[in-house]
Amino acid sequence: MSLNKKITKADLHSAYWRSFFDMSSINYERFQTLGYLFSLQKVLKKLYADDKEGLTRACVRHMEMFNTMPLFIPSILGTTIAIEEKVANMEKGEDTSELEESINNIKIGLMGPFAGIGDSLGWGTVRPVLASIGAAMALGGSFLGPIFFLVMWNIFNFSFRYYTLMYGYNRGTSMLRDIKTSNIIEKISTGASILGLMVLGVLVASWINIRTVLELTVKGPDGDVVTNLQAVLDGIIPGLLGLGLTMLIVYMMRRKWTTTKLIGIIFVAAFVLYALKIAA
Amino acid sequence: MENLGLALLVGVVAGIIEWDIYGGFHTMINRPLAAGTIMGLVLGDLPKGLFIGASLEFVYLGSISVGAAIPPDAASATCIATALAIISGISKEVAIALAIPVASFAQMLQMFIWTVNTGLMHKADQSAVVGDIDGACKWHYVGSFLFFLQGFAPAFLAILFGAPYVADLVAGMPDLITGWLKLAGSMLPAVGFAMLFILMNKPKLTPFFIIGFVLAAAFKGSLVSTALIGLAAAMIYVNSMDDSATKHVRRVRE
Repeated sequence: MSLNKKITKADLHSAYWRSFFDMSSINYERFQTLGYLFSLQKVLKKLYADDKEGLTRACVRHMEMFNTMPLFIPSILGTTIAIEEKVANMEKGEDTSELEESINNIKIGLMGPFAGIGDSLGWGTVRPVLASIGAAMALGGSFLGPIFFLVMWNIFNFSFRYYTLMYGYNRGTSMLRDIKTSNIIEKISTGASILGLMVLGVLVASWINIRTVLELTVKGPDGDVVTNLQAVLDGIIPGLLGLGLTMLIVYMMRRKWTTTKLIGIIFVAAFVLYALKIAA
Repeated sequence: MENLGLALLVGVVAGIIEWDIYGGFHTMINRPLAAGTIMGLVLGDLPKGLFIGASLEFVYLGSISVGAAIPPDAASATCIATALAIISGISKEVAIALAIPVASFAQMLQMFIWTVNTGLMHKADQSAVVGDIDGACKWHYVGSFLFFLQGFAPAFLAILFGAPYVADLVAGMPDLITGWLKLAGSMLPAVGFAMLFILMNKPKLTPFFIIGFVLAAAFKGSLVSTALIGLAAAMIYVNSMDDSATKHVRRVRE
């Protein structure tokens, strides 16, 4: 097999930069599909410069439904580019159908697991951890909070996408096997969940400020004894009301209550609690 | 119409911030923490923007897009609430409560654009079947621009028409209302936290949530120090896991 159409670093870089626009035309029918084709635009045009039929087949196959967690798109792009490069370099007359089919099979094989691990790693752990550290700094009055958040996130965002794209290109077809035979998906999502849950525990303890102002008055022989209910609760463990509220919402969400409904209920409950001077 | 210039400024800033969600780059300037700060900086009241943004960050910390679900649009809400707070002089607590319905409204606009974009796909299909890759990809820019517009339009209109009314409305607000909204605002983060909990929790991992809670509640552990303990715990746990896949967890995004 002769490699007369070689993918260069510059081609990979074009796919890298274009991958940042992966969701520009996101839609209910095929989600990030057009964004995926857009990322490959330069690469495919180069590979199939003198093969109109090949280019058409490539366009059509990349217009099939694709959707995953955006941070993991570059790695899948990398494998696609590696296989497309092989297809484009096959001799005229050779049967390319098997290799061409493998492109979409690998895309579909990766997008499911990557969606799951991406959600717990990116949206469940990295972003909330960085954002809550930043927001806590900001509420303490420091404008460094948002700067910390943006700098840290974007170091992650730009480097993760770059290195996974290069990894995907270098491993090519083997990446799907790497992913499926090693336990890497489970390891990353479990590790991310542990870190995320630990930080979530801190957030529940610190950032739901609901305190009761109820006082129990007991008439005694030496005058009234006033017991502050919040002090009693704090004696058990501080943050108990916030924990209770969070777990109540978890329970209701698992019973298919929508977020909008729950937010409405919180507004109503807050009014009742405030008006009756139960909480402040 | 005297605040046309101001409305344009707020609209363009909100449009750029909104564009970051789906339009491109995902730098997270769309998160409330950054969006509130940027809006505060542009309108000349950084402390207020910082406070509103950081407060809304906790409210929407767990508002994440899983699969095809579109979460409430915290970016649009933060931009509009912060801008109204600074321009119309609303208190920070009221601005935070105001952001909640705006986020749900803007979420519906996003759903509308997701629907409109389906039409772009069909246009792109027509070019794709004849191998016209440039023709197919040009529709991608249209989608990108729609997401800018989705941030621009509501913010522009809210400042142009809403600002004077909001100022009047809020002027004579009784203590009962402000106290109520403040309480609601401090309870709301629980919704986002609950969403994150559902996303990540498995029965065998619940102990880590409890440890985190106790470290902070009883031992005053800071966020960063507890996160580092969490990192260590994650490493210990992962190192004891099998190296090869025994079962493959498959989750198709639909």
